[in-house]
Amino acid sequence: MSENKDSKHSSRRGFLAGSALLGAGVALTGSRAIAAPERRESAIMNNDRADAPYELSKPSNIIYTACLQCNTGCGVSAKLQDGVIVKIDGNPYNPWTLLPQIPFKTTVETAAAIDGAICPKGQAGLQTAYDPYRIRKVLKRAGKRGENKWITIPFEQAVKEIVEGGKLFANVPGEQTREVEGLSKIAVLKDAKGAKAMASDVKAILDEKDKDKKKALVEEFKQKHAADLDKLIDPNHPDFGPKNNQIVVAWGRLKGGRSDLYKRFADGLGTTNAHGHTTVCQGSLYFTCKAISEQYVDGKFTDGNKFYWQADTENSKFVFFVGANLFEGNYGPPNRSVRLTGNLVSGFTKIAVADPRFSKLASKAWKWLPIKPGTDAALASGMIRWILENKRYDEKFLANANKAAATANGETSWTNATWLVEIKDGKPGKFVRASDIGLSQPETRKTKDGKDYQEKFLVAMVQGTPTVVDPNDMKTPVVADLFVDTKLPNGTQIKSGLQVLLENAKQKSFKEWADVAGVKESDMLEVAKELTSYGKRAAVDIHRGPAQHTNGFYNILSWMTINMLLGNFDAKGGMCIASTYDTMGKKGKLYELSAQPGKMSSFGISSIRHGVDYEKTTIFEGYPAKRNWYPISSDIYEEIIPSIGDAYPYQVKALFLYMGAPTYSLPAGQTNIKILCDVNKLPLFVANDILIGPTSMYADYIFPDLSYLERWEFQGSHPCMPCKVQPVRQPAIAPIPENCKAFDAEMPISFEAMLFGLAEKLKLPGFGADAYAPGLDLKHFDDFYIRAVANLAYGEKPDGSDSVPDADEKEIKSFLEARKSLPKSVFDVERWKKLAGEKVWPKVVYVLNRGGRFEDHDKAYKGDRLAHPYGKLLNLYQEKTASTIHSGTGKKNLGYANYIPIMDYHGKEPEDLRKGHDLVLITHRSVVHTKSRTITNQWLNPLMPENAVLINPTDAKRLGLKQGQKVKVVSATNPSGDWDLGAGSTKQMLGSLQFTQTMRPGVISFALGFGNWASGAVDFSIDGKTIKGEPKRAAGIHANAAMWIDPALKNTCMLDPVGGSVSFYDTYVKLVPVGS
Amino acid sequence: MNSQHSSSDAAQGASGLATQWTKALWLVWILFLLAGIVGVILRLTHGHNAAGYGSYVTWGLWIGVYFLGVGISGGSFILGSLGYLFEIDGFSRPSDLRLAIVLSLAGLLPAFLGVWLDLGRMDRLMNILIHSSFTSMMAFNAWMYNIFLIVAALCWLLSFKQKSSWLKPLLTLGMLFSILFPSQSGVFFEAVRTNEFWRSPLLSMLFFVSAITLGSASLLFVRAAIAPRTASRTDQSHLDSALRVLRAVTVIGLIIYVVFEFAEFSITFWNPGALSPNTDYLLFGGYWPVFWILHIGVGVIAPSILLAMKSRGGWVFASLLATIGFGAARLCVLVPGQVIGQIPGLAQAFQDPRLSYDYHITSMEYLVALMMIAVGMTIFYVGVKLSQLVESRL
Amino acid sequence: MKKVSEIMDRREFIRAGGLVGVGAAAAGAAILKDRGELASKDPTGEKTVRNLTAMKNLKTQPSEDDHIRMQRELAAAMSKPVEKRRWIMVIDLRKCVGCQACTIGCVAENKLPPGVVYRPVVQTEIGEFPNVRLNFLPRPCMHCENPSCVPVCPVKATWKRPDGVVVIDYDRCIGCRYCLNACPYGARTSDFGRYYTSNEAQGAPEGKERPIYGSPAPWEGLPSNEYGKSWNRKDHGSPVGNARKCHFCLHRLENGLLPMCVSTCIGRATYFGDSNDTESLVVEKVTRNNVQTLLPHWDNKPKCYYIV
Ligand SMILES: Nc1nc2c(c(=O)[nH]1)N[C@H]1C(S)=C(S)[C@@H](COP(=O)(O)OP(=O)(O)OC[C@H]3O[C@@H](n4cnc5c(=O)[nH]c(N)nc54)[C@H](O)[C@@H]3O)O[C@H]1N2
Ligand SMILES: Nc1nc2c(c(=O)[nH]1)N[C@H]1C(S)=C(S)[C@@H](COP(=O)(O)OP(=O)(O)OC[C@H]3O[C@@H](n4cnc5c(=O)[nH]c(N)nc54)[C@H](O)[C@@H]3O)O[C@H]1N2
Ligand code: SF4
Ligand code: SF4
Ligand code: SF4
Ligand code: SF4
Ligand code: SF4
Ligand SMILES: [Mo]
Repeated sequence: MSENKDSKHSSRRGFLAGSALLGAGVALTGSRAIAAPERRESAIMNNDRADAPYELSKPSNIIYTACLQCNTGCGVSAKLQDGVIVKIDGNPYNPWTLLPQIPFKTTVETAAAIDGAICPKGQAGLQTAYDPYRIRKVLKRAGKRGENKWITIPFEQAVKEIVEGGKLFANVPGEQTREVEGLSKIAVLKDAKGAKAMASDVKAILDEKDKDKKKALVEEFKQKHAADLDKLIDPNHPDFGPKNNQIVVAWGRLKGGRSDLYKRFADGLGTTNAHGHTTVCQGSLYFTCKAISEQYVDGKFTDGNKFYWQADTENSKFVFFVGANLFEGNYGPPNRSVRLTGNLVSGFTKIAVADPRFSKLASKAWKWLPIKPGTDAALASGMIRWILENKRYDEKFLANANKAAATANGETSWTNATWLVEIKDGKPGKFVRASDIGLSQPETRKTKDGKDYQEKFLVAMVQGTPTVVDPNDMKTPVVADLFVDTKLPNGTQIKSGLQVLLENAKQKSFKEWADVAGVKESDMLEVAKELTSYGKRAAVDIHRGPAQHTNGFYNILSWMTINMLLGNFDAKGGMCIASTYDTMGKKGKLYELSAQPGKMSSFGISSIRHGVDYEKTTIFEGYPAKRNWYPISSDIYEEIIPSIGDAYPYQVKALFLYMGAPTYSLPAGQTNIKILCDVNKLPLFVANDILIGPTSMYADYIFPDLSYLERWEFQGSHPCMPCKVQPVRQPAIAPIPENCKAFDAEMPISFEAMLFGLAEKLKLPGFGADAYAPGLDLKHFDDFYIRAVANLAYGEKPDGSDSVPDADEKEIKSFLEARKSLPKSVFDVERWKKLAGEKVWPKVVYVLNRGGRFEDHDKAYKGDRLAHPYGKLLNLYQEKTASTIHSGTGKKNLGYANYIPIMDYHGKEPEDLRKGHDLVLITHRSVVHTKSRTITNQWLNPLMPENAVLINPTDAKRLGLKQGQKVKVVSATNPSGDWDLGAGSTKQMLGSLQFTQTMRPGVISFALGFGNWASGAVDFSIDGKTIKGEPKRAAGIHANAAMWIDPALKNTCMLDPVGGSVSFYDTYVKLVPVGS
Repeated sequence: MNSQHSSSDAAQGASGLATQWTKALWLVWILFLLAGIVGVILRLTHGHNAAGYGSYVTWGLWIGVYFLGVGISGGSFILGSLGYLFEIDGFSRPSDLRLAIVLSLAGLLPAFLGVWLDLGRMDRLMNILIHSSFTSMMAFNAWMYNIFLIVAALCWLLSFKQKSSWLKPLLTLGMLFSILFPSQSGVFFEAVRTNEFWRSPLLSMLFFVSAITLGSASLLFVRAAIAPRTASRTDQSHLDSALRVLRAVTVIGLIIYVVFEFAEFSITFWNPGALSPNTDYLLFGGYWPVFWILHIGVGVIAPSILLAMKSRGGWVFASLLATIGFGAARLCVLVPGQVIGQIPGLAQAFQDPRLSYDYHITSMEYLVALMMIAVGMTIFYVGVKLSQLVESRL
Repeated sequence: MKKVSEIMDRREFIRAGGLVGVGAAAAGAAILKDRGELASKDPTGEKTVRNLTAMKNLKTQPSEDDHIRMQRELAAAMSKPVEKRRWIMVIDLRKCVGCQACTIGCVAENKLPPGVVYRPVVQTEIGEFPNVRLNFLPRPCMHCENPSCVPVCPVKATWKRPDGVVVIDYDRCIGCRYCLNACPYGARTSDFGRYYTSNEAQGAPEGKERPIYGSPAPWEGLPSNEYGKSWNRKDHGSPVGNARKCHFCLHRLENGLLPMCVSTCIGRATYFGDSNDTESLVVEKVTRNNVQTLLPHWDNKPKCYYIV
């Protein structure tokens, strides 16, 4: 209605005023086409208007970069018209957008005429960059936290205030006298050598098992480091580490390049607290796979990778997708859809889907199992039992007990399914060690860092005979018995891992397992049968659905165990891992960008207590611990702010948050708001954001950032991508934030500028002059990114034999042409050329002209194997996990696939919370939106102006609810059904009901991306001027605030104590109609 | 001012404007004009965005009013001409003819205004004459209306001549157009061959009957409302017979219209299985009040009753109600024909206020419709005044 | 009733007859003439032949994305004069994942304002839990062989080209929306001159020192390239006020590019090509027995087919 009120579009008004007159006037003379200056014959249409050439398929108008509208990171082509991105399409060199993508060697002219396919969010991405609400200057809070009142301050002032502290908010009522400690007063330990010494002494304290000795060690420590004790958080708990740890550096969506700089910053500060968002995402998927990938190194299990597997969809004949939302979310719709739809139609591939919600993916499935949320492991257990009992597993694969056996059998990976586990009190514990049972002599071997250790070897049964297993041995294959249940001569009960698994699965009948999961027994068994009918070309592909529960770890482990039974790892059509080209360089190669001379060694327990056993610490006080400890997972997003709230294990004084919105993204995110609003709990909060977002709105300072279309990053890959790749995100348009100076370099205010400004002021090691090595500075972000691209272009071989070709003259010309609208602060040929080095420069152009480096499609496979295999041990039975203790219950964690009911931190099933609430709340992605981020994109609005509460009509009928009715989502931990936004404002958790047969009765869902309360959705003020929000951005419902707050922890959501995941799909709610 | 002409032809029109209704009409005119100006300003400043129609329901109130105006225009011209040619009592005077012509123009010209304001490119109005495609009923109509306009204007001029051998032929031609264009208005919809609801050939008949009825109702209105209180006997009886005829034509017209309409929908009544979603929407769905209350109740039953009574005031009301009722009847053709999308779910696929199958008339549209009426009144007033002036000069 | 002779004299009668006769004849002639004249006056022959080389320079790979194959075939079709090409589209509904990439791709490519859409994707849900189905139906213009939208246009602003594409001349169209009404597929929408960002960041300070970007989104003001011409919406320029619809991305075809909705189809559900090329992928797809058209009873004879 108010379309024309916008004064900025004055041209639109022009017509209005004159139109009546014009109408009359022109009507008489008859209309004439808008003057055609040079009338030339029309190519397409007979009309007086001159033809205009199509400019968007010329290389000089295209910059290839990587999308970040969602984390899939598809390659995109930013198409420029007058220096403005008017269109974003798929980069045809990038395997996410074409199958196969065009060969890397294709000329840029040819490529420019080819568009790859991307999703609608990706296409709308230019609206993220050109969002009218993008901030350009540093904002400083001018009201209470969350009050939405800001002033702009110069970059230098912001840096100074944050570093030096003081009465920074004297104008804010209630904070007149509050003294904020600046970073320089927190990051007090600056002596790298001293830190190193303390670090190793702290390690000794942690490693000491005896309580009294531990105490003695602490006293020893206090004496030894008496001079530095004032730099520790608590001298009585040296394991808390230095005060530097009271700075927490956190992030939401962080990708390669920036992650390296952020890490460098944390290392420079000497804080151990650098935490990401993994656990809100699919944490337990990562950390279970990490546990699966722990390697037997130097006699213990270590070196697991934080990563996961997905199916090589393109070649799978059968895929069971479990809680994976390929066509709407996942990693991601463009690349995975193309690898599936053709095969589905041709009949090459068949799929089944387990999801409480009939997803778009399910609409193409042979079978849909509408599983009851939170029961994935039960379904898997039923299938495991059937597979084991019917011998439908890959026997050969499982029998390979070490690398040599795997190799001999044409496999690249192998499991420990046959290794013998000691059973104590009926419970499986550690693996039997050969030398412990006298099967062999321990062998003295050297550890990775050259120390001696005693290798005791493992044991497997080979045709009934206990046999020594040297897991990584390449010479002596051990092909072992699968099912072993016996006693050693010394009476020790032993079982093979597989036997443990089988017995566990036999606890319940098929019918019972199916009932727990709420699916038909016949469906369960049919899928199991189908899954085991295609050899290695079948896979279980899983994602958030099974992961984001309190039992996430074991759900994932159960499904991954089935994959192990299928023996599909590294096989074409089986389980695949991501493979990327390096950018950081290593010693002896082009640029060693991880070098950080003078870097502090950070030490101490992390603020989220990850990577450490509670029992080892000096604050061990028995069970339950005040908050959970995470010995085998990290990046526990839901613990970052609540731990600050509880000051457990110690108080945090400053929080940096980059590109994250925990208040919005976390279940029960409102718990975080409460803490953020308390300046005493968190004295200093600095955010980096492109706009005032749903979490950054609580910050003391917001540094503006460059959007993904203005900046650098290395997007990396996902496990569903078999090709080796490294997509490069690079500046495509002039920056929107204003410029600033750090280290005398002119650059746009950005994440990097924020780090550089602070680093300069704090004189952090690893920044500024000689940051990498003498003569290699880090003053402008180009100093890092251009060299990283040079590394990428040059390749991983020191002699440069796998470098990319040189860009020719023509290519360089269009490269420059395409960047003509970029200012010197981000693009300066001479600067870039110098950084890359004259010789590598044409290669850098070659890579940038293609949006990264991509291996050609045919190189991704070798026969029926993946060319980039995982190639290591898979832990079907996890000794390491089994040796950790749940700090909430004091019980040992299980080391194998298992169904565990939903529980709170104290191990209690949440019956009290369920009472009176009979709908399970789940959530899902729609292809249209990403978190809080894309509601800002105008094009996406008409596709789904608001989300809804999806409900099966049978439930609605039972509850007397009507289609379209507005309802509040209410749970035991949020009985009001509101978002408490702090600073006195609330937002109702209100959505309209949409009846749909796609929901399992008893389960309701809502699509992610709506119900925002910031990001331009509401009014805010800057420098006293009110800027209006756009109400469309506030539309719909975000029901995370209804998700359960853990009754034991009280200020965060329910969580997976092992894998760290937050619980997204376990809450019981009821719907309260509002209005008529 | 007109006392010396009190018994002349001109008297009726002249003094007519000074009857009991005059004040009310002036007031109405001023209110409508003011409201209309607001509406037109809204239209010109907000484009079409203040309207309720869009891309799925492409035409709204104005097009309904347009077809109403066209009906009035055609009907009054036919009745005036026929009466004049056949020298029917009450219609035989040149002044009777002129009044009908003026009314006809007063119906037609504001209809143009509505269509013009409805165009996305008002500046290209003339394309319709310059680049006409006669496969399109719209272009065909545009030409017809324009020729009719000229013919009617000529007839008006010639009516002042004592004897013109062109008047009657032109009246005949004018009548041809007048018969054509209301029925062509039906064809306007029928020509949309992909619209189940509109594709009935009965539509032409309905539109034609409604035109005659509208013409007679509106003639009845102007003649009764404007009738001088102090007219001479002859004038009085002249008027009486005119009103008698008009009253009869109106009632019969209403009945025939409803009969045709009944024929149209009867299939629905005897075979509920054949109920099209459009008809369902019209008779029992969202449009039932417009159909049953406005069109049938207000537009047919109430005027029939009033016309059956003796009170002239009642007739005036009846004619007004019948006209309003036909306005509703127009919408009953227009709107149900558009609100049912043939691709279910289309409006949800890409959501926008302009991409909706719901149509609700907005205040801006009402205001502009009032402007159309005000313009019609103006033309009528000016026409009558002009007739008087010319007459008095002769 | 009176006899005619009592109403008019002979002269009057002849005149009346003449006028009516001439009028009717003129009308008849006009209609007949325009019936025959619906054909396109667009350029044909040699001057419409395009020599597109991009795809020739692309190394063939053992297997190729359908998009690449179609683009190669497109180049071949463009090397023929326009009257020898017959564009058709085939949408495999079994492959459509309902992502709406095509919808937005088209919006972006053609710089469509709010309320204008050429290719929405209609989603329908069928059945009852647990036997439920979701269907996705992308709906471009069908480029009907017998388009019901064309003859209703009063100003000859829309017609069918020699290659089968039904087009609109924005410089001619008066925005009467008759054609919108006449298309049973709802394929035409009207451009009411709106802007996506007009309601955003109101009250934001302007100028170099402004704290937030605020300024009108630059992408929204730039001209589009439909029909290979430059259309600038500023100051109520066409296509503001006009009917708009899918044009099979003629401007992209001219440059050897597939229609945008085809290029960006992540499910590879949309096929496009020249039905005169019997070797083409699109012909391969269309000559199957599971091919259907939408609302066939209207006899519009769509040139967009669906595989079900
Ligand atoms: N209901 C529900 N909630 C969910 C999920 C769900 O499925 N349903 N999914 C979860 C998942 S998987 C994840 S990964 C999390 C993610 O949640 P988070 O990691 O917290 O992050 P995002 O929401 O991706 O982005 C956070 C903020 O970054 C800011 N931002 C956007 N672009 C930029 C930029 O270029 N630079 C900077 N500095 N800031 C920027 C925006 O203001 C945005 O609010 O959400 C989780 N939340
Ligand atoms: N459009 C869009 N795409 C995205 C993102 C985005 O924000 N928007 N984000 C990206 C990111 S960060 C991530 S992590 C991925 C996530 O990718 P996915 O995990 O594939 O996406 P989700 O929609 O979260 O899928 C979770 C599915 O699990 C189902 N589910 C819920 N509870 C259960 C359960 O108990 N068991 C089972 N088996 N299923 C259950 C839900 O109905 C839903 O379909 O998507 C990426 N892609
Ligand atoms: S899937 Fe994600 S990364 Fe890919 S185009 Fe869509 S939004 Fe961008
Ligand atoms: S689909 Fe509609 S707009 Fe397109 S040609 Fe057919 S009738 Fe015309
Ligand atoms: S809207 Fe334009 S194209 Fe459509 S009928 Fe009217 S003038 Fe013709
Ligand atoms: S062919 Fe072009 S214009 Fe037509 S729907 Fe596809 S993208 Fe839009
Ligand atoms: S882009 Fe393709 S898959 Fe996606 S909705 Fe359109 S036709 Fe369907
Ligand atoms: Mo995620």
